[in-house]
Amino acid sequence: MTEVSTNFKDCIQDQIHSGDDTDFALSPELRSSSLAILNEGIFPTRKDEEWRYTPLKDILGRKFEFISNDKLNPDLLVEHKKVVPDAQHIVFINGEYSAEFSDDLTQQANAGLAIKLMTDLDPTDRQKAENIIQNSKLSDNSIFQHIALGLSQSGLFIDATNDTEIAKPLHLLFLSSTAGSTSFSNPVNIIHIGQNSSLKIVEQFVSAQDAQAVTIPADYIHLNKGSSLDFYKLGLESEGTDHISNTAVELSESAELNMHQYLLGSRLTRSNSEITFVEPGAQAKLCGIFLGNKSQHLDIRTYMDHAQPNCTSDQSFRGIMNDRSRGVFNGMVLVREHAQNTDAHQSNKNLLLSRDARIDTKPQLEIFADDVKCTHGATIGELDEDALFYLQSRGISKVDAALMLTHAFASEITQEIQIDSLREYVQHKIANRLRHIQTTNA
Amino acid sequence: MLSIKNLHVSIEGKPILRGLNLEVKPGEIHAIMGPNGSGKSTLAHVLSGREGYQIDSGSAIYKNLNLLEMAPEIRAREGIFLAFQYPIEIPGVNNTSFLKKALNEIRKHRGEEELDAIDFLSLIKKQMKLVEMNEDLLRRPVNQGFSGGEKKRNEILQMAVLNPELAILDETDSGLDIDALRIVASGVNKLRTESNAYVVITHYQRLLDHIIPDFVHVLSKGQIIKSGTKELALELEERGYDWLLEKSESPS
Amino acid sequence: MSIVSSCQFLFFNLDFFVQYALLAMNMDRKNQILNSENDKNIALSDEQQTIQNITNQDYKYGFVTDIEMEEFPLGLNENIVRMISAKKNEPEFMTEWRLKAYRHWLKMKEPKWPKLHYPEVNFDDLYYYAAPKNENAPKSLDEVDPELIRTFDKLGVPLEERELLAGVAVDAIIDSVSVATTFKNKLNELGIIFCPMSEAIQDHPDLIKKYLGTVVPYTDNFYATLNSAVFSDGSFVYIPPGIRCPMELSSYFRINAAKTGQFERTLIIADKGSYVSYLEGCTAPMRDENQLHAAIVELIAMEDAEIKYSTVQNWYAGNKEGVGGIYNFVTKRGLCAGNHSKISWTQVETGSAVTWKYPSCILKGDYSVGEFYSVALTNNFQQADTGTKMIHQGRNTRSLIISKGISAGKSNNAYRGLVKVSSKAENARNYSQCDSLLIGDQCGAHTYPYMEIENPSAQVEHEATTSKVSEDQIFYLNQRGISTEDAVGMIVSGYAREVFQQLPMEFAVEAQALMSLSLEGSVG
Repeated sequence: MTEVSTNFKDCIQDQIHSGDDTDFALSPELRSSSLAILNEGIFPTRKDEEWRYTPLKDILGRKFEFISNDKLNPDLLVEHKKVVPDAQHIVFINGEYSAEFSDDLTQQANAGLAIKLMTDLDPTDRQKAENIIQNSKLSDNSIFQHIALGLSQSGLFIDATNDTEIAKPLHLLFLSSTAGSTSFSNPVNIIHIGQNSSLKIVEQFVSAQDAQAVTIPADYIHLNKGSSLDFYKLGLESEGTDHISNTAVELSESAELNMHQYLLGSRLTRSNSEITFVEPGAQAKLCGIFLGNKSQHLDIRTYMDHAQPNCTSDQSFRGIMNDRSRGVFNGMVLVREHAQNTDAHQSNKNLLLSRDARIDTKPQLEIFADDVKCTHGATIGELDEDALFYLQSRGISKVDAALMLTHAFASEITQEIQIDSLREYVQHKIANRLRHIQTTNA
Repeated sequence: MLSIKNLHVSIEGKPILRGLNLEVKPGEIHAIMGPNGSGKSTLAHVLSGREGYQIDSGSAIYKNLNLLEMAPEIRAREGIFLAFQYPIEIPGVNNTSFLKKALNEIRKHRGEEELDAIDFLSLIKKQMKLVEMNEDLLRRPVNQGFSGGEKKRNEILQMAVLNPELAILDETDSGLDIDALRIVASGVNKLRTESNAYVVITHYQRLLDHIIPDFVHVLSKGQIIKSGTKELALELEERGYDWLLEKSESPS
Repeated sequence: MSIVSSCQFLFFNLDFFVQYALLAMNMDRKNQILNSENDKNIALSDEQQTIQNITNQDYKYGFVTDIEMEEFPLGLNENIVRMISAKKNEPEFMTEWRLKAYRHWLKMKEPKWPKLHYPEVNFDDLYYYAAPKNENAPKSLDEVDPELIRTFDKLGVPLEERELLAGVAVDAIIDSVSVATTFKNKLNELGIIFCPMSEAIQDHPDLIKKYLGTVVPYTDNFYATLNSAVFSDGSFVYIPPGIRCPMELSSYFRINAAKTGQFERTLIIADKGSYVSYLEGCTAPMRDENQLHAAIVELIAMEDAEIKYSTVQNWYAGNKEGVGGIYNFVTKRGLCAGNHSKISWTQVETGSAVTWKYPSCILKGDYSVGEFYSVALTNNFQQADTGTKMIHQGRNTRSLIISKGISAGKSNNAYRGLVKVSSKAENARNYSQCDSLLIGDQCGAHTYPYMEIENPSAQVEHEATTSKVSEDQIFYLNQRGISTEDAVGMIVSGYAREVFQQLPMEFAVEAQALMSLSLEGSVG
């Protein structure tokens, strides 16, 4: 199955007609409105406030070729699986579920956790899954969400039952492996967590070193009353890839979300996370690192919708930009009318390590209730001169001192990772990247 | 001066004061003691007019006025002063400006001339000595950045400047070290006259070593279950509240 | 007595109060009582509080003067632009400049700001020129139309008294033409030019040619371009090298005739090593029809020069149901052209139905400094979208942003600001503090800071908090005998204190009074 398309927009048009209804992840009813938007084919420009700092010229200018998942080096997967060794592993290759490399879905590795292919749902499950999508209204309703919704032919429905602590993390590996031709993947994952249950998910996006790929995933997550989710997202694809993702989370009463994002990969990364408090008393903690080198462009957008009272949100994102890279943080905290007793904090700190790097940050508050505690802050700066000097005065070279301080800057976030092997891996990845920075700047 | 009769007060339907009676005459100091949750602070708040309390029945007559119908600022202008248990911080509002405004509102209400800035500053500087307060605190915003002890001394300073007829001290001793306690108490003692009265609400007896009460009342479950003189406070210190509570719970 | 005049009396009084009352006192007593600068300030700020008592339910400045207006036909075309220019005897270059702007404007679209909602302005249904029908410009107060003098009386800025007010020269503008300028001679002696823009175009065409439109080009934005085509009048200030302007320059603006767009244009140039402080105050008569106001202010500070620009804006905000009120779409921008120059904006915005205003600084000179202090208060159905842009271009430039938003009623109040550090702007520093205070649960408070940083040596810090006037604070003040209304006034003034401290005294007093006035009925 190889199709050659001239560019991204044509490729979308081709995809619309590339299968029967049964081939797609979602039902025709749900897809129809997305298809209408896809047929219009309007992509955001920098005049769109939410895309102000992220030009799409490069991704729209890509040459496309679709390729099935052949030529895979299994060793690559073994390495990646080690990131969370004690987990249930599920592997997608170039956007398609790989039964061969995944743990058997029918063998429930975790009691209380059902994992099904989106293309293979019974009507009850489909109803349940698609309800979650229908309830999620993304504020960034750009075409990319619809590329996933309207065109996806893969993805999972992950359903955790009530009152169960799911011990083993779920490790979802999305691998782009093709060289020389462009792969396109747009999985849709729907996650439903029953009352008072807890789940840990690691989503890891990786690619072969020379892969050419576009990844446009979408996750729709619903947390029921008293449930909790630890959600880790690792963006580690190589520089031939573009990655535009949307994550929508709804939190019911007393639910708890901990979401981490470590975005180090891709030529262009745009990660949009929208959290909605649909019932009172829930809490969400979002944090992350975006670390760019060469001419990477990393764009983190968050949208925290306090639609209900007594909810707490805390966001902490740190950007480290080197070479000619650009970082964008675009965060919104919305406190709706009647969402009294909201406690919302948002922080974005950034380090610019090179003359040609750039950061654009826009931490925003929109508040319509008066009995709330909302703060936000953003900083951009170099490493602290005094701290550098202090370390140097103790005999540490300036380069090492800078490295130590940059490490410390990142580790204030990474130390919050609750899975040991994952924490070590992420810290190791960041350290490697910083070591690169050190050598290129020396 | 103050006559509270059979006062019943509830918060969100939950009864807090259940038939409280109290008579305060000019020149007297009344101590109100009692375990946590007995309604001590509620009494202070109800007398000063804080919102959120439902008056179910009973009356509180102050200088022939129906106290419970008056707005809080009118009560203040009529001479009721509450020294707060937790004085609130008001950012940006200068401590001195605030107090001058308060004093002049009260003076206007009494038909007295308002003080100009010069006279006011000389008054406040005199009164500050009473509470051994650092002048810096005058220049700061109301209670902002004050330590716990400074806040309480600031309350007493305000009392000294506003010169109330009936002062209610709501757990003014809580959070104070012994020196601060002594300073606060001596301030109160110096301000005491034949025509003003104090209601001192406290959990512990130690404040009453410094401010000698004429009467001690024990509040429990919204009622005064025992009244006496200062010896009662000493007895409470020794024996705790339990012996009284048990007694009150016995069939009547 | 209206607020403005009482404020000025008060300014008077305070001045005398401090200087004479203290002199009159026994020096020992003075030292004993007012033993610090701070005590004096306390004494002063106390007096400010008393002004808050002068409050009244209705908009104080709501009246229309019966001066006969000379009006052009409705609507806008090249002929109108030429007529405006001809009416003012402008030189050819000015007419051409206006026409260029007009032609450019025809190609532009009105910006649709996401947070502002107002009925579309019909630009064909406006008058673009209105002036008091007094052909001979008055040379002194005696020549001024007595009706105008009465207007000022009602506004509380009697001109006779102004001359007495030490340190304030007033360039009073009714609608579009300046009618009186005071203290001109004294300023002349120092080589300071302070005159209506129309006069400057006649008398100082070289300066106008050189500087007009250099900070806000005629292509800048929809409203600025419109202003460039049809601007009526405004103030022109030039401070020669090394001169420190000895008095606060002041101008009171006023919209008067019905359906007359107000297109002020002000240009201030501070030459090398000079200093000037300029005050702009606004009041407007009550009308049920929305009125458009699209002003431009351009500031240019040369090497070592400093400009301080203060505004108290109280255009009619519409009634409690949100009917009427001014649309205030203003472009204010300062250029720190020289090294070590400084521009400081201070604004207190309490009026207008819709405000769209971002006084900005382009920090081009090395070591130049930009400051923005703002209090924006909205009540009822008012909408404000205001903030600043700090564009760091030179090396070692610094900027400071202090913004205090206050929302009450059903109003919406947004801070929108940009801090940009260009790649060549080494060692740029910015600190921004943007706080919001909410009064009631029907209003909105929003913060949209943009930071665009292209240089690694930049240090940029933004902080924002949200708070409300708490019931505990009000009760505390009530318990000390202070009424709820006064309590809210005190708390709000305290909250905005950092900004008020930047204002000249008489403005600070006026500003606090306006705040209390604007907040009436918002609590309790």
